Amino acid sequence: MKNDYIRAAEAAKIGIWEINLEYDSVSWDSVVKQILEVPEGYIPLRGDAMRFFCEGPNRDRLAYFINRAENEGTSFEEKFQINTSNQTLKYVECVCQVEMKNDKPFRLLGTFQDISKEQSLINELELSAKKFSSVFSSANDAIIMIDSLTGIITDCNARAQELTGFSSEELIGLHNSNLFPFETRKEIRLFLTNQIKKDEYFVKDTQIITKSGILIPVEVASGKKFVVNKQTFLVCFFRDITERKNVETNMNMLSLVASETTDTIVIANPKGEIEWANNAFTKLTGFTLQELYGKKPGRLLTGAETDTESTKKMSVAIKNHKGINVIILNYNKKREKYWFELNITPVFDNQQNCIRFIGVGRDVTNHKEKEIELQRILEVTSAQNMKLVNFSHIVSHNIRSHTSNLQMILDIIDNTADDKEKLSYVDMFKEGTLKLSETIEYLNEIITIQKNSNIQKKSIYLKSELERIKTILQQTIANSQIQIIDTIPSDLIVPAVPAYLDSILLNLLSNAIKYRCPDRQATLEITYEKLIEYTVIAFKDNGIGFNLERNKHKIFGMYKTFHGNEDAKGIGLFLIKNQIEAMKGKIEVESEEGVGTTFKLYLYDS
Amino acid sequence: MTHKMTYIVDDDKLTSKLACLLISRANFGEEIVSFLNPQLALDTLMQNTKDHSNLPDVILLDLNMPVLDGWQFLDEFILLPIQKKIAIFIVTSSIDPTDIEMFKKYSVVKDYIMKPLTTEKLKAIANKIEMID
Repeated sequence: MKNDYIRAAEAAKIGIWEINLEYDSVSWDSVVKQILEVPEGYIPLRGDAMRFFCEGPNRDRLAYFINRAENEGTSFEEKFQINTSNQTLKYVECVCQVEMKNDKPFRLLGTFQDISKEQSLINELELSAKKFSSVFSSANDAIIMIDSLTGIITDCNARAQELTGFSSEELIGLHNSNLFPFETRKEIRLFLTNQIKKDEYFVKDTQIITKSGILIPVEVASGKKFVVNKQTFLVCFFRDITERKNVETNMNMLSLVASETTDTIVIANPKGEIEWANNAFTKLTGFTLQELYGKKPGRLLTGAETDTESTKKMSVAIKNHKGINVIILNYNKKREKYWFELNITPVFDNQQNCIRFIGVGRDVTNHKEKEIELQRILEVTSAQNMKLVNFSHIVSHNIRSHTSNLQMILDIIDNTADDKEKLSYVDMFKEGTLKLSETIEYLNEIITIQKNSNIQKKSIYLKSELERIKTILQQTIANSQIQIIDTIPSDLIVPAVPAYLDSILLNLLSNAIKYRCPDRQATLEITYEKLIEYTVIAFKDNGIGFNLERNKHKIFGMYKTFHGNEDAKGIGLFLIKNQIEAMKGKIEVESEEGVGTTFKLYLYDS
Repeated sequence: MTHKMTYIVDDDKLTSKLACLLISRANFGEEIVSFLNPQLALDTLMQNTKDHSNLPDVILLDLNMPVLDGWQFLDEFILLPIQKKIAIFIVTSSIDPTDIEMFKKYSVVKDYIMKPLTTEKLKAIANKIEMID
């Protein structure tokens, strides 16, 4: 029976040793000798084993336990580190039973087993446990461990307590769904179940609810599941992403504003090339973001009628990294015009480097068109006002000058005693009244023209009309030897009031004759030009001309003459100006003293 | 004390004729020279800048005139190198407030007289000239 035991022990690689206190003898079996790496034939002596036990606590411990067993009969079961005869470090388990005789220990019987393999495993485990526990406790993320079968939380770190507001006692044993708001629980449960099946690393943004009911946005990450004692666990990491979410929310708001506002927004690089534009901008310009990307807006959006002063100002501002505010006529992809109010702001980094330009703009076509219309109305009004002023001036000056003459004559007659002499002044009085009635007639004519601004226009062949006037002036033309050259085609039709056109042509032709230069062959060139709304007829003479700068205010006024000519009444230009304006046209003049004068007649086409 | 020479600068023949008549009757001055063209008046003044006896003491100046209007005449006149004190009076039918404002800018213009010129107005002008003297 005893031999059976020994054989079994030998097979299990369990060594057996014995110390007989009575005979003071020691015996080791072959397994003990193998563990200690001593030869099979080695004969141990009492206390011989001690030297194999590593010096220090190991050897002291053995001495202590052996001593107690020998003297007090206390058995022991201990682990030790030994150093074999080949200097190999090993872990051993040593069990010692004490046999007593007459209440005194007389034999120590024990086993000796090499547990190096088990021990190093334990050491490794301890190390990983330490590592894990260090990560676990000091991680910035909240970590909880869940029993994947029940969903119960089995462990958590300090950060998890901070995040959830639960203590570790409260957390452990709690079902994980308690950490999630009611609405998301089902989703989370499905997700976790699925995750356990797939057994993969995952990250998900969700929300947890704290003990006090506050919702906190978190990023949940889970590693692979692991199994201990047939229990499957899932480690979940929770990261508080409140700040990230806030930034995201702000960014979302900003980008919502930028993309959805009706104002156009363009972001350009420091060179002024487009990096991004919002919907309003692509809608207004008709260009897609792809078409706009990398382009300079100025090249793409300006056109023939865009004010070059404004574009210059803009490129200077961009070059100097300055902000600017302009209203500019732009063109869309279909080359349709629109008025665009644009505010360009440079964006600088911390080092004051310009990193971007932001252009915020809006279509102000309606506004601008109203402004232009208002400007036109203002011009019309001030022109009317000028006419009124001029008219009151005419009344004040031209009528008053004649009436004052008449008053003077009466004054003289009053102060004359002699009747004969009195009668002699009657001729002067006649002259005065004649001039007065002449003036009143002219004024009446002007009022009639101004009153009849809606008078019916007719289509007139300009060429034949011109020939008719030349026939009327035949005699004067012949006398002056003036050469009248015209490029008016015989089929050119102008819309005009016949009587006014008559008067205008007559006046301009006689003026050219009247103010010809006596030193040279007089010429008058009549040319025409078609503009969008006007037919322009130019009358260019080589006459004496006049100082335009000096006479600007007088030229089209009534009774304003600036040549010393005896027969200049100063009525003609005033009259034709009124006539042409009554036909919604205009008259312009250029002149240089000694060179000649050009009158440009703008006949309104409709 | 009556002065020697009066210039009338007015393009209206009838006005000019009547003014001459009125002045000679009112014993306003010894000699009257009438210019229908203000440029001629300026030319004559320019020829006599040194000859004080041939320069007028008074100029009655109209405003609305061809070639040179009254203001243009004044602008040219103040550039002339004349030492003699010549009193200029604007005599015009204009009641335009801008004209009345304008005359105050010219120190050579002593007063703004509205037409018609009468014996009473001539007396007032004579009084003003005496006061200045």
